[in-house]
Amino acid sequence: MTDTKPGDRLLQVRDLHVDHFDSQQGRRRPLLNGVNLDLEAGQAMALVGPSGCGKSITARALLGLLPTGFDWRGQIAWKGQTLNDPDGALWRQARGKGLGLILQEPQASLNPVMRAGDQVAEALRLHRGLNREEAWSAALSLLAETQLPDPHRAARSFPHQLSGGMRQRVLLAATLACDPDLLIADEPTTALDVSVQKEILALIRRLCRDRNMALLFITHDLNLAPLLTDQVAFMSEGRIKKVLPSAQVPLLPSARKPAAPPAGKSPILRAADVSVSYGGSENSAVSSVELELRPGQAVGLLGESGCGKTSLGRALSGQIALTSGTVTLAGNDLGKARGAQLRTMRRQVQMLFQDPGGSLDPRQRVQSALNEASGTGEDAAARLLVEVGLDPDLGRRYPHQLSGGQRQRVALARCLAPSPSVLIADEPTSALDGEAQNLVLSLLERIMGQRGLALLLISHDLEVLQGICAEVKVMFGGRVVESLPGDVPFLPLHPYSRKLVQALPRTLREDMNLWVQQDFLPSAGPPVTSSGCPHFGNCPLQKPICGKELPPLKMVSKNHWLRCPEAEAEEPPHFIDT
Amino acid sequence: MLPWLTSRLAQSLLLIFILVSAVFFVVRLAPGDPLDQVVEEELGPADRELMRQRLGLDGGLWQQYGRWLEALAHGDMGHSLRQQRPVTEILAEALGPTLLLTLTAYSLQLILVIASALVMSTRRGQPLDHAVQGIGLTFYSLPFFWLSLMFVLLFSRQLGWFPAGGWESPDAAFYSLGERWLDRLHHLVLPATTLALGAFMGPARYLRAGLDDVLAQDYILAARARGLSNRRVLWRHGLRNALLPLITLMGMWLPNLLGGALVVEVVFGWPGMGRVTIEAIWARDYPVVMATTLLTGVAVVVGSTLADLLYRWADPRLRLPDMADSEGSRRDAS
Repeated sequence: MTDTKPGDRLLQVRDLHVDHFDSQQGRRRPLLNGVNLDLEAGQAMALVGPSGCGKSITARALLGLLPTGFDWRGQIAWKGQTLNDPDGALWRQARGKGLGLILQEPQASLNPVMRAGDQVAEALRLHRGLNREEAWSAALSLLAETQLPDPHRAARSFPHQLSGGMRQRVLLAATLACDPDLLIADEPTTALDVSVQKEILALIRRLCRDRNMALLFITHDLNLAPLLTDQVAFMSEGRIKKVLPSAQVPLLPSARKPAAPPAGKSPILRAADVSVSYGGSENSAVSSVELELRPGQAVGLLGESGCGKTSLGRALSGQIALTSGTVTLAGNDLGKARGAQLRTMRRQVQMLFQDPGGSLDPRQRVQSALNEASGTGEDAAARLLVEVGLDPDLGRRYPHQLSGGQRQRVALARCLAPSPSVLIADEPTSALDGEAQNLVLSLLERIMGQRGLALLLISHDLEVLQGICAEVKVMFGGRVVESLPGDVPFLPLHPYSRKLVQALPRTLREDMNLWVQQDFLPSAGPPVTSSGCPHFGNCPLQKPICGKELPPLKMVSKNHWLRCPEAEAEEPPHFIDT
Repeated sequence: MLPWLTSRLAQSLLLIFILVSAVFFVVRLAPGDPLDQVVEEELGPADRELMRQRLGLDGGLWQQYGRWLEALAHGDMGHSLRQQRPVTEILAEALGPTLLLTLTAYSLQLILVIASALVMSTRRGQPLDHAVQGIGLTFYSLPFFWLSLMFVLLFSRQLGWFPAGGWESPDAAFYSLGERWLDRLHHLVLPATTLALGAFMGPARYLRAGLDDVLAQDYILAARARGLSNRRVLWRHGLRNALLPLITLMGMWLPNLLGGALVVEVVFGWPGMGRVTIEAIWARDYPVVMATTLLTGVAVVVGSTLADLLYRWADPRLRLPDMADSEGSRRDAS
């Protein structure tokens, strides 16, 4: 596809420095301190490091697209030509013909008012001089190359009509329109579900091989980095510290240990046959879920976007009305409570959200937010901050003056302020870095034990739940399909649970065969009919009966419930230790 | 779509009804008697009463309100107390000049808004940005009456380039059609420029902020990474998205289009709706005041409804439903 041969030198970066001039504080902050990087045609390299280490800035500097206020010096050569012209014509040429970029947030990387096909065709018309019809049909074939199931429909859609994985495929197609020799992928799957992540990564890997396209893969996930690449460059503090061949990159050990076995306390919150549906829709977001939360114990909800886990969390905290079923809190029916009683009960159930930047009022000081939530009139802020391991002096700050991890801990302190008995944490670590993630998780575990809190931990990431949660419920299509101990190793039986486990980067690294053999076609959504198994249509074990009748949740062993008679009947599959 | 429009229209009708009723009572509660304006002072009390009856100003407030509503329902806006002719006739005469003036002024303003917002956003912090902001804010902060007078002094009295007032020359009746329109355009320059220059900076700063937001989005970065030219990225991907909120703002311009630019019309002696309104208020000419208020109210409602329709057309996210899908990004999990 490209006119380069393997071994040709594509990119040479020498002593790249980038500074940011902060006009408000009037000082210069170095972001890159001498980055050296070489890439040959067809080579795949990963750039790994914690957030703020300069990975994304490196990518933008390579493309000549640094934001205003950022200066660079050093040498960047593309196919032997030094890119240094001030008006940027050489850069633009290199970007159009050789360098491609895909970004983290597929929703934000597509123009919301332009049809997907037009966005692909635009670059084709510009770079290949095609006319409108030629460009449209070329765009369709690119969309087909990125494995969109129905390219015609996708091309006519606007970005908001496509799912996250489909949007990322459209962005890939638009980038391929320039026929790049080097694809720079900046956290291309961080905002996607694990199973979609696997599909997109497999697709990128295949496109790079087919087109002899070099890859610079930027990620914070050490287990993901070696999957696509030949070499891994470790970055920190604006420098590349070392480069290792991918095969020599160690598998990051799981920080989690086995969870304590369930203790025999009586439940504080009990959900019976809970269903939630929105706006008179026939399909329920949550269907007949049973759940018990006990003091000092954590239950995990595992599932991907759209599975109903967030709706369930909101229903349990009394924020949205149930369509049917009951939620009882310490023996009182939450659905029947009104007025002052409802408000008292709501204080008993607190929610911790994914994005602490959005859940804290940007114009309220930390101490004011904490005292408001405690509602006792006394100054509780300092005590709460200490409890979540923060300096009490942080109380005088505003949320934007805190780091992401500090903000999430302030949000947690605010949850604790009304002395709740139940805490529902909805993806509490998804917006955080690896280190901050572990900190928040161990904090949650400690506070749960100290306060005797009942914890519901909602996540798409099995590794977040493992070790904390005595019980993990796997949700799909609004139903719990399996419920089992959150042990290490995690031994699910349901085909959907197993698919989730097999899509984990850790699992993929341990068994490359899983990764190579898998197809990368997007999986279908849950079926439209509400009768039958929600996983019908995607399931390797499906029988005709599965589409008509919903299998019951049956106990298969101690503390292990399964909604799949086929998997139950099968021989126990080969499990991977996660 | 249709149910949305229907409920929208029903709400609007109710709103207009409340508006005109409120205006009816407020105007009549204000001190002053319209009879003083139309009747000679030495008229005897009996004759005054007769006059009052003929003008429909007799009876209690509620009776007058009932009569007025009934007439309105038949499309009759009544007779002007001062000019002794149908209100509709007065409005029809004033509408043409007003639309000519305001449509020109607002087109000019839109061009100024877009051009200056583009300059301010792309030349951020540079001398050109400061120059445009300085000039625009100066005009924006000057009162219209003063700006109008200065323009008349400079371009009419001193330089003699444009006429000082009116919308055609006194002998316009003897011109051919083409000459007559050229004459009108000549008269149009000063008031239209005054209106456009005096007001463009507000929406321009609004658009600039929107453009700054849009240009910081990932899809702009992604488009530039595909090697698209700066010009195309700015117009096709940047401005196209930044203009969306301006549609709402433009909907609010419509009432000004019909209501006329009060101050500017008075200073330049432009025979439009603005001047009609001002004169009617001074004269307690109730039917005319009511009619112009009604027209402005309708314009507000029509303008905002039109803006909403236009917005739905321009932004596919409002027009087309999301496709629910199990495969999705985590951020928009419900």
